[in-house]
Amino acid sequence: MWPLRNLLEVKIRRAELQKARALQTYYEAKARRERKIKSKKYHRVLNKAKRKEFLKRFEEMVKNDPAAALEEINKMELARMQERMSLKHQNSGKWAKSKAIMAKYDESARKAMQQQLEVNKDLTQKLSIALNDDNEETETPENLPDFVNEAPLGTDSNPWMKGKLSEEPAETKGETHNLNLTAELTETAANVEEEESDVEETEEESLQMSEVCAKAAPVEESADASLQLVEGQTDQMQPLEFMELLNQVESVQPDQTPVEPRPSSDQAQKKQPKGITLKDTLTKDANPILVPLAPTAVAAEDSDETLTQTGLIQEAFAGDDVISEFMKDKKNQEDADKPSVVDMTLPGWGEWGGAGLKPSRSKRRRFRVKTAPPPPRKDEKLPGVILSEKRNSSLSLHQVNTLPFPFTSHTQFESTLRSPLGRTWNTERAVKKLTKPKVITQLGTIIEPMTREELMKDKKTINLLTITPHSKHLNKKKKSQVF
Amino acid sequence: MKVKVLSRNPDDYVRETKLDIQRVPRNYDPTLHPFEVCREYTRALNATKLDRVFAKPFLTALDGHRDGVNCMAKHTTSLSTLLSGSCDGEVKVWNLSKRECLRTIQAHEGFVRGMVVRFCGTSFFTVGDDKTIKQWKMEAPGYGEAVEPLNTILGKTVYTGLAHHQKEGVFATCGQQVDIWDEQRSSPIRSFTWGVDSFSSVHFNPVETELLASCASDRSIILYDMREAAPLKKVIMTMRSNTLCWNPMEAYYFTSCNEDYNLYTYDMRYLNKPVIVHVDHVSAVLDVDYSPTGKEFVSASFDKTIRIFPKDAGHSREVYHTKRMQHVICVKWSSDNRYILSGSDEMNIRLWKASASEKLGVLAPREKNAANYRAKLREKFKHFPQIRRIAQHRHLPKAIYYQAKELKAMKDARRRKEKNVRSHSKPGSVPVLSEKEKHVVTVVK
Repeated sequence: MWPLRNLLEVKIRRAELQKARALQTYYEAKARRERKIKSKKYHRVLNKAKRKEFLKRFEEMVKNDPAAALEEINKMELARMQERMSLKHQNSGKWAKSKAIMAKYDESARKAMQQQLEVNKDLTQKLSIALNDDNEETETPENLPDFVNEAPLGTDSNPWMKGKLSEEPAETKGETHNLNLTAELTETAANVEEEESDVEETEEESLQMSEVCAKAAPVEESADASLQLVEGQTDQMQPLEFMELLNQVESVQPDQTPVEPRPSSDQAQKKQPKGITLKDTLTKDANPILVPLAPTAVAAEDSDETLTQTGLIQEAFAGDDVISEFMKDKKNQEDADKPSVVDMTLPGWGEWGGAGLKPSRSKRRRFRVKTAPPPPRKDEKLPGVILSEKRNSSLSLHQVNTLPFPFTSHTQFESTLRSPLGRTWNTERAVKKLTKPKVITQLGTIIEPMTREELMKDKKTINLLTITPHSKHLNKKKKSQVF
Repeated sequence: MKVKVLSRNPDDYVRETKLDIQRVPRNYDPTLHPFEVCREYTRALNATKLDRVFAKPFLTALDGHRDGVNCMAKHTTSLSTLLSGSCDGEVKVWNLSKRECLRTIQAHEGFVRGMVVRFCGTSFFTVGDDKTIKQWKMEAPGYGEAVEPLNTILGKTVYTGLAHHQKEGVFATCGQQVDIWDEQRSSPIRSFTWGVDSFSSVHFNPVETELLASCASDRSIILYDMREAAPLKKVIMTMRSNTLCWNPMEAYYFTSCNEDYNLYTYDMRYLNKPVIVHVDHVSAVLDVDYSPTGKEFVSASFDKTIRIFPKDAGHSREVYHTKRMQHVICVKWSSDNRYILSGSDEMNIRLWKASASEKLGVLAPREKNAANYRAKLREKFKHFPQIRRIAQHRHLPKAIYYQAKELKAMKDARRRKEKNVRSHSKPGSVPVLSEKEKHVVTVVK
């Protein structure tokens, strides 16, 4: 039952409701209008404002309502995870591909693509701590101790990782390296003790509130005193892992005695990686086996040069047994050519045949056809040569198949090809004579037809057309082939 | 202490001036330069390919005629002058080096059927459909002068061909009969007839200058001697010859172009059988002209191509065609052996290079030697399949390509049928006729 009210209250209530409904409709209409807005500039401005507001709210939340802040952080982490899994903003979609085609010519297309990549970068950056200004120094990369980059030396299993990572490529002497190592170790030990105290504080805070990183707008950064917007430090600074490292370093420190005295005088071992000895790599005592080496020439140790050509080659191919491999190769080729025994047996034909049944041994013996041995290969007398008997199809493309028309024998044709015409094989004068064209004409002169005087120079040819007037026959005394 | 040193005389290895080339001591020992045949083969292959790469024969088209170009005449003393006559009676004088028309003369009403330049080069003759022979001056008329022929001869019948003697002031025309004219007379000094009432062309032999040949409409070629009263002999073929051309270097050979798509080279002395049958065109051959060296000739055909044949080969070595060039009516090989001129149905005269990939102009000695070497290599290795394949490949317009295939199929079918008929009939009843003999019907003396 409604509580009894007077008219006024009802009216007031109705007005309120009306107002509320009106407001609601205005709000909805506004939202509908705003949703329809497609203007890029408007959205850009709007997004900027939203981001600013978000940052402000976030900072307040951090101070006042840590739970909500945590939620926001979780949301960010979720977004990051999603981005990393789906790789949506990596310029790989249809839109990005179409933009890529235009990017060569269009500035705006290029910018759009870059913006997408930046979005990706934003989403995937890891949230890291930066709470107090005091801790800034410890967390800036320059002040990181050197051994951060060293691998965890917890186990002895990987002897290759025992030594220090090479810093200077110009380092050659073993002893100096040794000294360096030991010096650094002592340094790092000292550093660790200093840092520990500072880092522990931060550790606590990090444990309480997981790493925070506000989303940074690509263009502007609103730097607040309390919250530091950190970007791109994820590679170098991995705080949690960093903690682990520190712990490990502390534990391993006493174990770092086995920096061996390197054999300094042996120059051949210069090339080996530093700090590895045979003893460490072998897990158990192995029996030394004598391996017969292929007879090679005595490696002459030149005191002048250590890098002679022959010495190098010998060293490089010391393990290869070239001769036996060659022999194997030749034998393989010979065997491939040798036709094997052909088995011509057919099941059935005088005995039972069927699935799973083999013909009898006597029958098989009878039908094994031994083919004739192949003709002797051309390289039989030559032990160090393999002459391939196969027909090279790529050559036959270029070879003449049939004897061309004017020639009557193969030798004739080949003799025309044998002698070269070029300057490499002949003297200049010879080349000029050989390559002279059959007909040489002068540039710009009219070539007159043959005159009778020219024809008659050679007196052997008789003019077949000495026709006297009124004669009806042509003199056919001689058939001279002028053709 | 004795120290062994190298001592060389700089005179042996240093060049004398900086304008000389470096002295490169060469050792021609063959063991130092192995694989001669292989290396030269590769060079020949490359040369063939380059030859095709640089094969751009078309030079220019001379535009100006208002009707199809019917005949052309080479100037006997000037390489850069060309005369052309068109189907509307216009004669144009061209300067080939500037590629422009010097003069236009309205010579005849109707076709200009024949044109020839006199051996001295100062005047030229034209014959046309209006039954006249006109002689014109070669020089341009002075200011204000109208162009008038030096001499006009009116005839009773249409003249269809014109030829001039190589050395004397005598010319010949053909129409209903073959007439020999003296330049000073206005009536022919001699007329030849042999039962035919229509001759298509007449040509003087450039070497044996008293001899003439003409093509008649009864599918024959008739030989005359100017000094005789009657024709010498004639050969009747299966189809009509349009025109012919004498070889300027061989006294006895002429090549006639025929309606059956072939050209026939005859030895004047043995007309019973052509020396060579040149097969490659896919439509009637309309004109032929020999190269001044006598080694090749060019033929123009009703299929819209020009082909260059070696004088002793049955197939062409080169084909020129353009989309814009329609039926080629007349063709000439320039007197310096380098250019080919073609006049066609669509009122253009085209200038082509005779050897499509040669470089025009004066070549430096090295260029020339290199070109000679390449040419020689191509010739040496021309029998090799890869080189032959590249060297003989020419692009043809589709119509011509398909037509050629069709003709080949027809020819093969005919040959097969003949073979079958011969194998299934009494031996000896079907005689074996060579391709050459097939086209000659008879020789009449």
